[in-house]
Amino acid sequence: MSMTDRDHPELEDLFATARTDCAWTPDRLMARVMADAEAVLQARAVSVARPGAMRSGVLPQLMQALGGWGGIGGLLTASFAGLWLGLAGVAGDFGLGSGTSSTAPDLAPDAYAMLAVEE
Amino acid sequence: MQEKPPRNPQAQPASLAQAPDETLLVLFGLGDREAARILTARLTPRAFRVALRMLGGDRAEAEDIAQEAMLRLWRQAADWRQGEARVTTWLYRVTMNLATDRLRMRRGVALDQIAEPEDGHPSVLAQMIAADRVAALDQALAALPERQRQAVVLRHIEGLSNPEIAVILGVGVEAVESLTSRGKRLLAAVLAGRKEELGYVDDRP
Repeated sequence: MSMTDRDHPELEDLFATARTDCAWTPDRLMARVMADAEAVLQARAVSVARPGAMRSGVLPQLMQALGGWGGIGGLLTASFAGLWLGLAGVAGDFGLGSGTSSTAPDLAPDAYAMLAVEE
Repeated sequence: MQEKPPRNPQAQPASLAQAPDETLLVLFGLGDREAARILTARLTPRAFRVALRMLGGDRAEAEDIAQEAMLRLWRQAADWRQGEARVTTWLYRVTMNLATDRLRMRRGVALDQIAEPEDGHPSVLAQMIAADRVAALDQALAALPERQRQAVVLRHIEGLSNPEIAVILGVGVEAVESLTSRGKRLLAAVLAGRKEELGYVDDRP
């Protein structure tokens, strides 16, 4: 790395002077920078402590176990889908929705017949 | 400053002071104040120097930029990806970008607003001459296109290698060479008429 400049010696002298000019950094700047570092450390300590506080409640703990809001949304969708399937299945097979005769009476005689055979 | 027991019994402050920047940054990310103190001493002057030259010698603005660049480094520490970039390269890049933003914000402000020299240094006369020369350099630097100024400052004030400057500026090494040499030619041309005023005719042996 060459710092000299044969074509422009005065330029090199200016660079050298400028390097000397800013060879020292104001103490107040160093203090401000260090204060920022302290503030960042403290902010990080607070943000690390906060999740621990949230975990102490039952509801947040349950929510976390269920995978947060996303998990709960999925759980609700699955629950409603199950409920719908259940109701649709009952209505279709047993005609509970229609209020007329169902397949249940037809099944019953067979069941009794089987019992009779066993006897 | 509050004393903190060392995380690792073998990592005494003496050896910590010799640790690479990246190690110290990771330690700071884990909450080590001593690492922050060493990094502050090591890196703040670099950010300050670069900002000072980019901003035409305005110390107050350069301090703000250096502080902001270091603050971003502190915030980045916990998520620092080891081995991806050198800490100094990252810092120079952030400082350059912040300085460029500041320059764009204040474009139109007179260039001859040079900060007053501060007390407590060599002799008053020598200091005035140095201040004049540095002010002249700052004014000449301000006349350069942004990329040329960045390349010249990183090369000739910070003494960085062309490959490192290339990474900081996000260009190829050849482009850095071109930017630096064009920048210096332009600087020399801008300063040519001020040689005598700056004492270069009589001073030369």
